Amino acid sequence: MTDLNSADLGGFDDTAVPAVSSRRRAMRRFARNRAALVGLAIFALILLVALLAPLLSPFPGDVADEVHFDRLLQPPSATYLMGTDEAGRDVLTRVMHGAKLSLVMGISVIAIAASVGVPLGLAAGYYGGWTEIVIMRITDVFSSIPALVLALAISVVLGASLLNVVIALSVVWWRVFCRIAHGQTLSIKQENFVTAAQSMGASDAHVMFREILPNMASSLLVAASLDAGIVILTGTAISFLGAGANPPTAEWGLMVATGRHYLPDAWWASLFPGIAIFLTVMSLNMIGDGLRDFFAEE
Amino acid sequence: MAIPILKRLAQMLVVLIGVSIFIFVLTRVLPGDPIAAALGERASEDQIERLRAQMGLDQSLVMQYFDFVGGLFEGRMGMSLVERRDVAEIIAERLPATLELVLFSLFLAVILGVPLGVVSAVHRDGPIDYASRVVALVGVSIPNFWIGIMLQLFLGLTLSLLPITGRLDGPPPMQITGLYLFDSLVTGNFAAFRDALAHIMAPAIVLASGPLATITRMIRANMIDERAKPYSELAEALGMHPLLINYKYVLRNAFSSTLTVIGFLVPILIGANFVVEKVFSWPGIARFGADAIIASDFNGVVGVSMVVCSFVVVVNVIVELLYRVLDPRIRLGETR
Repeated sequence: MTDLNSADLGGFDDTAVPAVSSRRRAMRRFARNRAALVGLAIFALILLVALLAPLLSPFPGDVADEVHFDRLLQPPSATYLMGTDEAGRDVLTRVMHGAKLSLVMGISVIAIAASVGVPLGLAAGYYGGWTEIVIMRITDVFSSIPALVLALAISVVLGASLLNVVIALSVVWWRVFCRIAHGQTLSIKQENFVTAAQSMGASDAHVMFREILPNMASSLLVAASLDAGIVILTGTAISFLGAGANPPTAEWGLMVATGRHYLPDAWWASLFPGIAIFLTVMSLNMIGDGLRDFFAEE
Repeated sequence: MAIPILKRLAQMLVVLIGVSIFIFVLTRVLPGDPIAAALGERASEDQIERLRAQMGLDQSLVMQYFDFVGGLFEGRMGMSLVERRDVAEIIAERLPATLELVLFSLFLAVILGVPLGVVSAVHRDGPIDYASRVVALVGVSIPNFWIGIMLQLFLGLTLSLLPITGRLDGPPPMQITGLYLFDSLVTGNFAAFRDALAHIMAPAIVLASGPLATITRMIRANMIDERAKPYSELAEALGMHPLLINYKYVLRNAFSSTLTVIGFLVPILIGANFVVEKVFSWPGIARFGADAIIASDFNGVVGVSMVVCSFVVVVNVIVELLYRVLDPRIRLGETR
């Protein structure tokens, strides 16, 4: 975007003086970065909580199936900042421990999905022909089934557990990375440096992984952070529906599902785990958007 | 124009066959014995064997698949273990409820998302823009099962503003399409219309929140891009009124690229609907599907998956057609 091309030409903008508009643009860039920074800060905080939950949480014993009959469904108070659940367990403690489960789930699904999907997409884009047709049609099959539905079905087939949710989501998510890698490979392989490497006798594997792959790293990184959020939303939804984490696991989706039975009186048991999911996903989205803007400006 | 569409349809048919085989195999490798589970603990070995034979489970997987495909041509999808009647019958009964909810949510997302994106782009970096970007960020980040429950809690239980479950309290309107909003409006049954509208509002808001956010973001980004293109600058230089440029030219172009997004939003919307129908006890196919998945009702899972995937595929073809109509470059490129 050159100076005059930007939206400053929009007739609604009353600041037509270039000096002002460039300051506005600088502010804009700053604001954008600030959103990404806020996202990063929230994410770092959640990560810290996830790592230090056993030390930081007020009632570490409440992660398991302890029952405290003397303090069932207590509203938030100075002792129990987020109240207690139907078994008298401290909701804050359980929300803190839940952070680890959701982060591990998001990160491992993205890692597995990318390491399967990217090589397949690279191969499809690079070799073309039947390789491309077969791989991309299979991708189409997986894309036409809504992610949540397919992951839910696979989770049930494998049996309700968090590990199986990770496996199910990985089976669903490889197609996302396959499509990105395929699209990027198609455009990158036209570049001169690829032709140069090929003419110097580089192997297909070298061209794909050393020449093409590094050039799509930014797109993959943006997709990874945005999709980690969607993975967490989908995974917690599976647990919410009863096909994921088993009680008494301190998993956010499961906590919302259990807390729901005690509405409208004990609203805290389902409110706080939901806020935790929301903040985690929002921070990943802010980071992803920030990365995308950053790479777009380069 | 006909040939690329036909080619696309053929491709889609291949995809649908792939989906059916995949889901079919997936449901047949279910662990445990769904038949024994459906009959309960008191069932005798003999009863279990009889039901198994009745459901065709004693045949080979390949035979079962061809039986299923043959049944499709006669409008059968196999018996549901949960409801003990043909899945096709259950789906036919529940499809209008789901269609109404999905279409109404998409409608809400478009009529709110497009203007929000336009206003955001036109007043770029103003307070309205920031507000709409925050709304969009919240919309893509919020878990819909949770916001559904919170809406039920605050709008329904605490403030008593909206009914929180089901489709209607009063009698249903005369059956034409099965879409209550449409039927009641056409027959002038305004009591039923109000009733249906109040019931659909909360689930539709939840379902629309994600697509609304995506559409707002897309329209905003596309309009800013289009506004920077030479044709906009030329129109501006010729003294054309900014409103005219924005709405007649820029929005039209921004919308055609947003259309593709609506195409990929539909599968996401339908997936989210499995949670939303469950939370709001909406009597559609997604709630039946979610229950069928959890209960290992294999015929139910296959039936709902096939209907959902066909819907996704059909919407994609429609989007592609609309895209051609809106974008003259594609239209003209083919007649040449």
